[in-house]
Amino acid sequence: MHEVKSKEIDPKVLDYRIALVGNPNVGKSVLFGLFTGKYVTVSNYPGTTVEVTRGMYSGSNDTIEVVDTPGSNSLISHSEDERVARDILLRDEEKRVIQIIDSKNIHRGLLITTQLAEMGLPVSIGLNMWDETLDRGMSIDSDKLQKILGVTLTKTIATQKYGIGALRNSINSVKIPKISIDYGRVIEEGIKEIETLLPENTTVRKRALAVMLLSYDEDLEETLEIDEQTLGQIHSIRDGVQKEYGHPLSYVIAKKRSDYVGKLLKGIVSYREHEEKAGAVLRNSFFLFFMPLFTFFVGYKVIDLLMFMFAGHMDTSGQVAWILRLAGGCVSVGIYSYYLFSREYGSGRKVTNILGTLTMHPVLAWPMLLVVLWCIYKIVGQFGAGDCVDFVESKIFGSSIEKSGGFDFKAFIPFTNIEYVFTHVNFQGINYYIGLFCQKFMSTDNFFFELFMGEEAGLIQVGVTYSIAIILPIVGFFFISFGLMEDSGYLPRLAVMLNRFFKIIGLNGKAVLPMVLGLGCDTMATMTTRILDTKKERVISTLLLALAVPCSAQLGVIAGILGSVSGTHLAIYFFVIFSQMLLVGYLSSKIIKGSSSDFLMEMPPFRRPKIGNILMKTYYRTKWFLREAVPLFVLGTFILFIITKLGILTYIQRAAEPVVKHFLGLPVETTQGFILGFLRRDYAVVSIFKALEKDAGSLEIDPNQLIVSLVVVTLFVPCLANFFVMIKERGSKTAFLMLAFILPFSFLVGGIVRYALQLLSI
Amino acid sequence: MADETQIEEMLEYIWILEENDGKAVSSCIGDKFGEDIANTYITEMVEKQLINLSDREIAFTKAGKKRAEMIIRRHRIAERLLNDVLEMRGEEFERGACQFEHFVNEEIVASICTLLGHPEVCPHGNKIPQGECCLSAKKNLEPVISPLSLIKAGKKVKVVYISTKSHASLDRLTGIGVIPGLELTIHQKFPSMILQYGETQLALDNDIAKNVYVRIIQS
Repeated sequence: MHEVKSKEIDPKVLDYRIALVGNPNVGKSVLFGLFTGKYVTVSNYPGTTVEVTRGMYSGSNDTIEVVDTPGSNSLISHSEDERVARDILLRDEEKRVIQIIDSKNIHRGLLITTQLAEMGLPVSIGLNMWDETLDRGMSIDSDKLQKILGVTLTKTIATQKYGIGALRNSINSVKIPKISIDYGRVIEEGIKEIETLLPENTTVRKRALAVMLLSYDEDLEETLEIDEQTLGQIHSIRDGVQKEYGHPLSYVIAKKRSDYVGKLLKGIVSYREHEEKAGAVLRNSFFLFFMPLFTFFVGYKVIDLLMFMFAGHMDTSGQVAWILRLAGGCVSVGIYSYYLFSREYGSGRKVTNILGTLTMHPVLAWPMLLVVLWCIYKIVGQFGAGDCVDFVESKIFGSSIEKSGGFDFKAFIPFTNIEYVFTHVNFQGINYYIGLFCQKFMSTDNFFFELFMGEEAGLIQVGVTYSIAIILPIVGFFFISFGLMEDSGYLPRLAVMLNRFFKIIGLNGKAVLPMVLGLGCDTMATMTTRILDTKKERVISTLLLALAVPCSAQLGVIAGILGSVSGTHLAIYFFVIFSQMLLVGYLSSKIIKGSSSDFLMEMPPFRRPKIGNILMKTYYRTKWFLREAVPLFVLGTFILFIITKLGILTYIQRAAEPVVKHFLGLPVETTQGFILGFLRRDYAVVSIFKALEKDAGSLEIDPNQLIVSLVVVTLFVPCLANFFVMIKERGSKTAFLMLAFILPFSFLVGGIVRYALQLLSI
Repeated sequence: MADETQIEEMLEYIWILEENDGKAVSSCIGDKFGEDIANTYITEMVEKQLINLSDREIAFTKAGKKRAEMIIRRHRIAERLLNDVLEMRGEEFERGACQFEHFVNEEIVASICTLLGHPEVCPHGNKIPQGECCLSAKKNLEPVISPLSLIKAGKKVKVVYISTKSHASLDRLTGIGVIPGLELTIHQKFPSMILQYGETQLALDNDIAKNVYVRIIQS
């Protein structure tokens, strides 16, 4: 989720650097974008910036560099991102700091200011999200605070570009904040002793380093490269000081800091009694119109989905079914309205706050979650992966040999069956025209024609076409819906809802980000496992992504195929995959060494997402994705081309025959699908489906065979791109170990499912 | 005062016998402490008017009952403290509780009892005799301290102390502003616990919440 790569910049020409520092989710990345004109992914989800982003200050003629640091609650490092942020402050020379504070959480922000002051860094502070502070009836006497701190405070609303000019100007008047904390005699003596042991040429004040060392910051010991002997002395000083306190020193120090800030803020922050009420029209339409409409839909859809699972056992289009659906909707409206009117209507809270509470309500949030997932599936799996992919693949790209036949521009008139055709576009597909051009020089059975335009594994016909025609719509639509979840603040609420489940598999709620992202693309999701706190969690989530999370390309095709066969079988499929995820997660959390971290996450407020931001984000993410993925797909196709040309495929098929045919009970031709799975997960599904269709001949495909093969191909190895990323992120040893586990495991589960279905005679 | 300790042990045992069997027979005391010692001390206790002996059956006098009650209370409160807060187990736990009952005074027991929230049963499930502090707590609804994880949703509480063994989660809590003295509201407990303080909403695990000890300030 970090598109802008850091460039090496010759430090000589720089006047100075500006480091953007602040707590998570306070708007650093937005300001970075405004300062540099560069775009960084911005979201309403803490911990999105994992890597450091650097850029040139716009208008500075490349003499001022801006560094965006990961958000951290303390400059004493507890996690990788906090360490990254801190190390930037320790390392880079000639720097000025712009600290961004979420003004409604000013106390927490000033804790960092005290640490910056201790380091002796020149600071200017931006009090961001000023609008939300006002909304909450909170007022901050910034003039008084400015006098006390001795640094410039600027009120900003970064998303509306309010106060940005003033903040830019303030960079010329940065000062070290006038803060000095007395930690008490014993600690102060410890600090003095440690100061004498530290190397001479540190870029920040030694006092700050000494305080960090007393706070058990072991990463710092690495960063400072202190020799063994000195380290021993420092440790013994620390242990000596620790003896005087009942609590860990880190805690004592943090407490002193917090008390200091608390005293500082007395008389500066005040609250009005009530928060401002939202406009009556909006409020009433929310309560009386939107929520009833939405909740009716929720109830209706939940019943509809339930019936889909039992489609084989009841008439889902009969009168009874319709009455059930409508009743479901009405009951749902009743329940939600009861909650809203008894608890919220009179409370005067803002609509977004009410939604924020409702989306993590112990009971009412679950049906909403179900419907949100269903909507995402509709948009990504059906519209994106189905309709759009079909259209782009067959009409825009087409085939190199056959004409695509063109397409119509048409519009449906709602609620009727009439469609109005504007015009017919006589476009036969990009590949057809390239093919036509090539045929001027060579025949279609020429080696090079097959290499590039071949139907089997041509680099352009298959490689490029597939990566663009299939990925572009799916990934695009997925990023749009993901962006909506992210920016509204729904994603962290999902973490709250699913924390208990993730606990079972050795992760915690924080893992919701990579896991949900995995439903879009496992390759990308594997990269974001970095946001997890411990190595163990990163390994488990990487394994589960590779094993059990189907990406949207695959999910779309699978749901399409199985859904048309029967809802019961789709339910069985999901049950099997889900239980494997639980099982493997549970076991690996027991086997893999290391510690899991506890779930502790700040809930950002629910916000109305900005469409511009989401589209922008989607554009950059998709662009980044294509750049990473297209070469891999072309490479994969090339490997496939060689395999088919040399006839290796037949050998593999023959070798796999005992397993595929006798253990799984599938036709041998499906082997090709499994091998293709390594290249493209969804392509594998299609290829298997075709093989089964061919095998069945005029008969209908056996749904049990279908389930078995789909279970295997879902659990089966991740695609090539994902595997490369696994190697890059986790190291080749871990990646190959995972592969060695996943391969036999997927076939084993497939076999078990086959016999289980036979036993249960489903 | 080795004698006093022995007397206390015996009173304690008599209490337990009465609690379990409904009556205490002097031969049981003999079995536990040895015939000679039992006889000596039973005579002494009768002299001190702590117990009455009639036909080998032992009954507390009013003073004796009161004294035994205090000892039992100290012992069981100690058990709660060692078990719940200090998390001692096994031999260490048994020995600790036995030593404890002989040297703490009533005042200390009262504050421990308050700290623990006036527990009613010991870890073994036996009833803890109530002290004055428990009775006044019932009348005055005196604030009690208990882990955050045990408090119902909707209550407003104040953090009293945080006792976590892992540095990392302690540091993260303090980093995000959860320190003693902080007043917060428990927004909800399921599917995850959500705390609200100031303008911050914080989601956290039960594993962390049970290490944060709070006092209810408003229900």
